[in-house]
Amino acid sequence: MVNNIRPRDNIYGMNPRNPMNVPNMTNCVSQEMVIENVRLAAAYVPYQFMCELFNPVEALAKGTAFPELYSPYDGKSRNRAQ
Amino acid sequence: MWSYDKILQYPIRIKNPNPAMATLIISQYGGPDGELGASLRYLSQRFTMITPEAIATLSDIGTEELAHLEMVGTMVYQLMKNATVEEIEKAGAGAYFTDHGRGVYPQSAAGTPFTAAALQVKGDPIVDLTENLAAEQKARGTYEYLIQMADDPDVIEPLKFLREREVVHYQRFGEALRKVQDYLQEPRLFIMPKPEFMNNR
Amino acid sequence: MANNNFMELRKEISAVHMMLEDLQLYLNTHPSDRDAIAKRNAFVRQMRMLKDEYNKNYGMISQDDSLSPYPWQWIDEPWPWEPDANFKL
Repeated sequence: MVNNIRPRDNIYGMNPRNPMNVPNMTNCVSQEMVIENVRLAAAYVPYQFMCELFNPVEALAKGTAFPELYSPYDGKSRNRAQ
Repeated sequence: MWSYDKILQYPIRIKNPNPAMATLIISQYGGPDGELGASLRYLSQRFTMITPEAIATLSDIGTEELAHLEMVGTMVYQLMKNATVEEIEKAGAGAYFTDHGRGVYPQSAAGTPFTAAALQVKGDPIVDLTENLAAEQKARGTYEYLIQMADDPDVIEPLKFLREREVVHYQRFGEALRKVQDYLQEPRLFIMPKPEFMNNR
Repeated sequence: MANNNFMELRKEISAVHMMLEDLQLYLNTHPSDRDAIAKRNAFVRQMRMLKDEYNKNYGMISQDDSLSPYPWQWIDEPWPWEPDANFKL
């Protein structure tokens, strides 16, 4: 979803996780799954969208408030088979 | 403008000295992919960045990197603090001790003093954000190498925290790049320049 | 006050700060996310209370919004890079 309108111009405050404003929707997708109208010679990182949050102490321990951005590291090298 | 909170972003409490580890971790203090460089890069780039989203991202991540600088300095300080001179020498940190004692000096693991040569501020929004994506990966990679070498959980946990922050920063710079790309693709009003003879007469 | 509460409060302040930091960075690239703004503002209120309580009982975490008794409290120990200033997570 490419938002060509500057955010302040979006008076509806559209919630990308629930664009039709359906109440009690629990099917939250925490990232863009498809990027449209991509151009050549440009790099695209998909947008993340907030769904659930870790509780504060857990967030501090993990290094982020967002479960979808949590990337646990096992301490092993990714450069060779071990 | 900056304010300072008198508490580390993540707690660091290292019980066992390890001068060898200290002279490796110092690379994230003053080395090419370290927090000082990251902070300086982002805080310098924001002057010529475009779109409020990208400017705010540079400003706030640049600020967070200073908090990380403090954490890395803390780790070096605590790892050297109770080491005897004999332990320091035996660990191969004699050269560092000669020049800096148990002090925290901005240099790379190899001993190169901090230099801005490792960073770029091009003044071009696409260049600068692309540079930053690379910078966050470099930092993440460095923390992974440090974690591979460390064996003390008191050292590993803060390193894992710092590594995770780099992952989050990469995502934010990626989103900032999207905002800049969208902005540059928008058709904009063409403003007719004033003819020369209209000025200063 | 027991030393336990000194560490416990610092832990809560650090934890709430993590939420604020991540939500604020998120909002910089998602300024229209109402829910995120609401959650972030709730954490701001929580942080005010935590810092006030810390300030009343232990000292100053930030300067501009904290009162000091006599003598000047900002220079108190421990400094944040000392092991004694750091809680166990």
